[in-house]
Amino acid sequence: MLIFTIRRLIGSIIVLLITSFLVFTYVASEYDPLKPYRQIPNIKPQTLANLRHQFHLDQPVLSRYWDWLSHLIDPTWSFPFIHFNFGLDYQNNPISGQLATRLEVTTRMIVGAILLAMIMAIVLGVISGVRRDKPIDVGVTILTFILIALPTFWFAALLKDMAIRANTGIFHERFLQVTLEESPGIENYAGGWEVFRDQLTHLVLPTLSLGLLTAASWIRYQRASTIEVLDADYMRLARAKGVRNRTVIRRHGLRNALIPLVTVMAIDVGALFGGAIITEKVYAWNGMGDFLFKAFTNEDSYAVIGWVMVSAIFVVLFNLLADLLYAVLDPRIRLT
Amino acid sequence: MSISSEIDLVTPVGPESPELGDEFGSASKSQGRQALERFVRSPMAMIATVIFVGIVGFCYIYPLFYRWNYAFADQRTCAESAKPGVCGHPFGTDASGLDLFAQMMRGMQRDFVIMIVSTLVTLTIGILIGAVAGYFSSLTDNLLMRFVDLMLSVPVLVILIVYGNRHPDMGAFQLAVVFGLFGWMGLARLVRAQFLALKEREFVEAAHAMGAGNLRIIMRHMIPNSLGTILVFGTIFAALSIVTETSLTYLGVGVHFPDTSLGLLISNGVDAASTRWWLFYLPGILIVIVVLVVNLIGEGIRNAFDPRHNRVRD
Repeated sequence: MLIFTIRRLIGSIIVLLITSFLVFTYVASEYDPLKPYRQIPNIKPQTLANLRHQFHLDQPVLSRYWDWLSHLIDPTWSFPFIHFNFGLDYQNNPISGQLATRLEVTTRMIVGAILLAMIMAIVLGVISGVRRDKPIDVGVTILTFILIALPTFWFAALLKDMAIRANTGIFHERFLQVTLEESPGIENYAGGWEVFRDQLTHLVLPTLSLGLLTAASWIRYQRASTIEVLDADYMRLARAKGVRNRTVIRRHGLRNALIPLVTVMAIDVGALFGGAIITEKVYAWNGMGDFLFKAFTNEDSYAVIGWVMVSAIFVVLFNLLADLLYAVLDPRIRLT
Repeated sequence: MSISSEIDLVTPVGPESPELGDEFGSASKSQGRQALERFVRSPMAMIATVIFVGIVGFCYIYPLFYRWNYAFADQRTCAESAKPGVCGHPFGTDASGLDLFAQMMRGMQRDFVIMIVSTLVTLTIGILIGAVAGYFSSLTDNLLMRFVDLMLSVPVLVILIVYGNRHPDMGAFQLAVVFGLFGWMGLARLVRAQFLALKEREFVEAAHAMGAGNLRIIMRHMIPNSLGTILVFGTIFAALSIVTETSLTYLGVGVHFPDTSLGLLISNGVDAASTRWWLFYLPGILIVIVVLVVNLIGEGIRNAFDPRHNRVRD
């Protein structure tokens, strides 16, 4: 398994290198990082030329890529040991720092959503698998199919609309916050507890929206694998030995039925770190998705590449994790 | 939402040999015919199909008789943001007096085109690459699968946003083609997996021994035996393409004004949700119904090809 991990890691690094090269050459040749400067009225051609030189835009793409790649990893002797250096954005601010802040905001949103989706998937999936074709299964199935059919931003906006109605009709105050990840500047006038409470009230809606939509396909998954497992011979054997039905399902069924779901979850979670672009836009969160969107609008090539690298690293890592978990949970699988 | 639930999509490959018929010894029916019969006999799948055909047919035929054109702005004062039923507009109008019902029918037409085109493009590429990778030797397989990994390392939505930013005049048709061009990776993996399993089967070996060429084996034996997987992926992808269209249009890189689509309608309606509810809720509900029905058709096809899901054991 160690050899498998090392081989996969090397393979992933190669994929990351090729991805970064392709994206870099594409972005560098297509994008015009000076676009925001060009929009300044009466800017002198000399200034633009200076900026071109300052951003190395007058050099060939390949040498810029090498420049970027050779400065990408910055080893240090203090704790994280590696610092990523994605260069500067068009306003000369370091991109890594911004990405770190954005990643923290996005993580806040997705952790709750993942937990919610996980709990729903396991509880509802197992119940509807065990009580197959009974009313509760039909209800859960209808619920999941409707959730799958909901366009992300329509559902998010629907929740937002309902929250606004609830705020005016039931709470008579702005109890559920519908925009931003926290009230602007709250650190300046409030203590730790109040900041936390403020962030929580901002969290409710995005977590619900993202969590429910993520849960939909996970529930289907868990239901399918539960049904599969219930048919297995070892389940029949356990029942034949006289073990109580509950215990059979919990000890033998659930453990085996969780294996496929865990791997799917690992893959989906990896993709979520890139930011839920649409959910973030509806609730005006300043997360990873918003960062990417701003980078596109400003045609800021280094910011785009920085985002692609961070999200691709998460995707690759969680894919690897999925493979490893598969082997750990199911001893029949030998990784070679 | 992504088609990452690959295992869920796989329907089992056919019986040991296509000529053997099913285990109850009935007259020889092809696997496809049996699946079709099971599909027709399933009430849920048939209701879904009827609703889907009904909605699409209605949206293509009824505009011919309807009094408002989707691009015609009603200038009368009563028709500005009219409520449903007011001023002769059954579903109301938006701020510039465009009839919502006419726009929804037009939007449904566009979304139908997007569904069909993107699914066809994706099926073609996915089957081709999956078949070649699964059928031929390890080198071809390896190269193609690494290519798939590469395509998967950047999210499709991001690629589409980049493309849409560079081509702001993109219409529904072009959007569909681009979406299809970047959506085949999951299918290629599924088809490859099925082909790897099928390659070891006796009937393929027999076909080889009788001197059938590679192309014949792929077309006559392997693709028909993977049909269930392909069809299920196709329907789920079709549903996904509508959802993706709404997302892209919401982000401003999809369908644009003179034309319309369901995604554009709800994107415009988002800000009106609390004041002019009909602009947000009516097109949204139509999308949910259409996507739901298409997914149910996919579920029906899955059950038809995989009777294990239906059979009551013990």
